[in-house]
Amino acid sequence: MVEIELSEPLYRSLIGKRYPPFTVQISAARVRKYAELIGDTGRVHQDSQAARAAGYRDITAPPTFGFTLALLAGQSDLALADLGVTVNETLHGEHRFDYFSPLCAGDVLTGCQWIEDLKEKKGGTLLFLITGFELNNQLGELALRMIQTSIVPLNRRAR
Amino acid sequence: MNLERKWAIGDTVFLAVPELLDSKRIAAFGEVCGDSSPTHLTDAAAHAANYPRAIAHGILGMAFCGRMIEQEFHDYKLLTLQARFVAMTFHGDTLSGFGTIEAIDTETKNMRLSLIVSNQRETIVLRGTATLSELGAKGSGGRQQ
Repeated sequence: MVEIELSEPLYRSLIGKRYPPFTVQISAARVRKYAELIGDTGRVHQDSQAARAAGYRDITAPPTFGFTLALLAGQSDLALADLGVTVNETLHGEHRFDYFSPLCAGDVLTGCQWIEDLKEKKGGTLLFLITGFELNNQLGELALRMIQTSIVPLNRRAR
Repeated sequence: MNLERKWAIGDTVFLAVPELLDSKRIAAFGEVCGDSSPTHLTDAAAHAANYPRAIAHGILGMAFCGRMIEQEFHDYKLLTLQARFVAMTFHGDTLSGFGTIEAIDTETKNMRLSLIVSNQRETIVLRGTATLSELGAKGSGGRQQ
């Protein structure tokens, strides 16, 4: 449980904050391993030829792989750090993916992260940190948007 | 896989097999997805963070849902996938899940699914939704945009 001094003014100062852009490349080996671990035997996630025959640039990432890209790019703790919280002190509360273009092995993605919202719930015992991510591919296309809710249990000090 | 199937509201699809979250799988998943949090690896680290024991990655249940959708709705493209992780999952849990078609747009043929994932104690650990568009339907964009 986090003992920190949080307040509405801090929330207001952080909502809308955008972090520096990041770049991440999709490794074919990582896509294959990820697909294997979630039991996804689809050939478009394993076999480049099959993926190309299906109209993709190369093997495609499973639907939740975008979250991995954000983690690999070191994005998971940026907003938390602004709150004085570490990722170990949070729970992954909710996640949403909006898909625009497939993520394929070899793609070089440019991403950005922002704080969408910060709000307390359950009488101030939980803080909901909502962050947004967008990933654009090397063709300049928006590939993926994610909205993630991290939940921080609070041990509130007297204000 | 349902290549020719016509879908209707109320149709339900299931995860093919219950998914065991053993320690080896969780550790390997953490490594491949870049989540090095020790709370996913040892009970001691989990206790230190006020969790009852080592927790699995919530996103794993969501990944199983994504896999199920891709396998069952072969002629559809995933537009959105959303999940609330309503209970923690732990080492040794076995997850089962299903999706139910809640709505089909008569014009676009887009479908909306509800998603449920439960553990071996029949506790719901994930509630979610997905929206899909039929490949080749107007505005679907096909597989590669």
